[in-house]
Amino acid sequence: MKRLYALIASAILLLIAIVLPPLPFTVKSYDYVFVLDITRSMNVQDYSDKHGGAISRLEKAKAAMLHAARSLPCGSKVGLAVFTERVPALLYSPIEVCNDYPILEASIHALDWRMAWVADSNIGQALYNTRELMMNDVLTGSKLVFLTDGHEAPPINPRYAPDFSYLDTEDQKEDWKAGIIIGVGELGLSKIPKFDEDGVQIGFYTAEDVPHASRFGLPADPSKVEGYIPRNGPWGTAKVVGTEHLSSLKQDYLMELAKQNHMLYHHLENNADMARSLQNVDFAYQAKQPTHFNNIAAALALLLLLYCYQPFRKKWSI
Amino acid sequence: MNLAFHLPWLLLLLPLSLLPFFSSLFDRHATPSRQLIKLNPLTIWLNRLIKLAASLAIASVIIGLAGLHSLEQTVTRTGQGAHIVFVLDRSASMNETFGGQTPDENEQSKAQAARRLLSEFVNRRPHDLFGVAGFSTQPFYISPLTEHKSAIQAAINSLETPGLAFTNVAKGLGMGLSYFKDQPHTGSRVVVLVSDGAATLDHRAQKTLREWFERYRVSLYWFFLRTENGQGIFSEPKSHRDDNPKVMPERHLHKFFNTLSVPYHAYEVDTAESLQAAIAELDELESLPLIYQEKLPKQSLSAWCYGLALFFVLLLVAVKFLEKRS
Repeated sequence: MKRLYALIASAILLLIAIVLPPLPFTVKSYDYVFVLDITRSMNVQDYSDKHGGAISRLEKAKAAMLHAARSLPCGSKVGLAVFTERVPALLYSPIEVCNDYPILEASIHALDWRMAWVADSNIGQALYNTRELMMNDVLTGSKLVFLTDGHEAPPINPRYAPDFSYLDTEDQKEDWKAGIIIGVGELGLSKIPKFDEDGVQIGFYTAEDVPHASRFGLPADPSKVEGYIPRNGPWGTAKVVGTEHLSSLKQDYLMELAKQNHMLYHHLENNADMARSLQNVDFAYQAKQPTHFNNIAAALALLLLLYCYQPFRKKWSI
Repeated sequence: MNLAFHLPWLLLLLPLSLLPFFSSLFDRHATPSRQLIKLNPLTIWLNRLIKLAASLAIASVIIGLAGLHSLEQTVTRTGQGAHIVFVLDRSASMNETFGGQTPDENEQSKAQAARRLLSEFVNRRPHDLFGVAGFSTQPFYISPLTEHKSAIQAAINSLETPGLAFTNVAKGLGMGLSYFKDQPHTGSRVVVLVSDGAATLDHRAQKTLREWFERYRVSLYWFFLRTENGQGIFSEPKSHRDDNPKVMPERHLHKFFNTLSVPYHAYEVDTAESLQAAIAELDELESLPLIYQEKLPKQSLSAWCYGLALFFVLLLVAVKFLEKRS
């Protein structure tokens, strides 16, 4: 008799497996906007690909972004923006990472430093403006992934750094996170490629090409400036030569920015680590994803069927 | 029909479907003598059929669990439609109203009006492929020609966000035209330039654009979002001295577009309503027969497997029900 009931139960379970509609089930999802630095210093080739050839920070960041998008669970969304100087440009608001992956792939491949509409880079201001952009209606709820090497060109005057506390809102929770800053580049100094107007590389930036200290506004403490002349030389008269024509990842600066902006920091070394850093619970939100439970019913039905035919039964029923 | 499995390793369980041949569904009963049981071919075959039914039931549940599905297929269909590339002006002035002011709560900026109407337009045209390119001082690639409506809407959403620098029409158009490079030539091909300004084109740019429009056979629509009291496409110069591309870039860009060998329509739009009218006209004009690829998504066949299993299990239930009970 047991086996008769088992067979009937198995039939009912199979029926359930056939007609059960997908049920809404809570899963972890992510919603990101990738904002990529496309200033000149991103052309520095201080990463190497898997064959050992040199690749630029920009190419490395693009590959890492694609890898990260691929490893997010389906239902997560990724939007794309670029920044140069102090202004970000949104290319599209977040799109689904599984269905719309071909579009993500095509557009990330097409990212290029030549999209830059102006040439300076002012990372702090750009981050400020990007966070302001994130408050736009079409980006509500998205987290920011800010990929940059942190190289300010020309050097900034710290007196005029933006005050990020203006961006805090009142209903913001204590442990709220705005997103993550991804530091792109190596810690050692490298040469920055220089291009002509047709985009052909004509060498590297030299010390004569770039200013090595901030000349903007007024110095914080004039008495410390050598050769200070209030009107004609507020930044002194001495020629300053530094290493601003070379570029490295400014990790400490980016960490400081991350702290002021309620963001995390991650140094991009390999794609898989960055993908993992984006699957941080701080960034996840709970989404209802239609999920199929039909296979569970079918699996139970199978177990019952196997029970009916299990070969270790007593041969003689009493 | 191309079939595949989500979890092919589950097929390793398939040998379990041989179990019915090694054990029986029925209870054994002792009989005093073998002579009492008549073995006739009918019972032998019935027994084999019952075992076969059980075996098939187990096998089809396993195949269903392994996720049998038909692969995604593309079917070529013919419909009405076009390949449309929007070339969007992302210059800073797009954030002003048609009156040339910063929008307040009740007004919408040129960019917002354009975004709303373009997004409605995209929804109205089911078979079209859309691509989006943007430009200010430099062009940028936003999204390729695609039928993914959600991605196109996301790209049009970018109009909501602050604009950038200047208006470099030539590079924007060049970027838009480059989308047609590897596309099959079917249906209408359209570039829709949405801008609120114009710029002078140098000879090199003019030559390249002329060549590309001819090569790719793309018709051009220019939705010029005219600011009140600003210069328009059809403005007449007051004197001969003013009739040059530096003073009246819109008029001269329009003149240049008219010399292209492809169909060209210009719409001067100065309210959200006139933009809507212009889009309706585009909707009407650009519907040539279009050969498009429709993707049939992969279809799970698990339910069919479970159905088959259910049929056999019901048979077994009936047989077991009829079993002689002691």
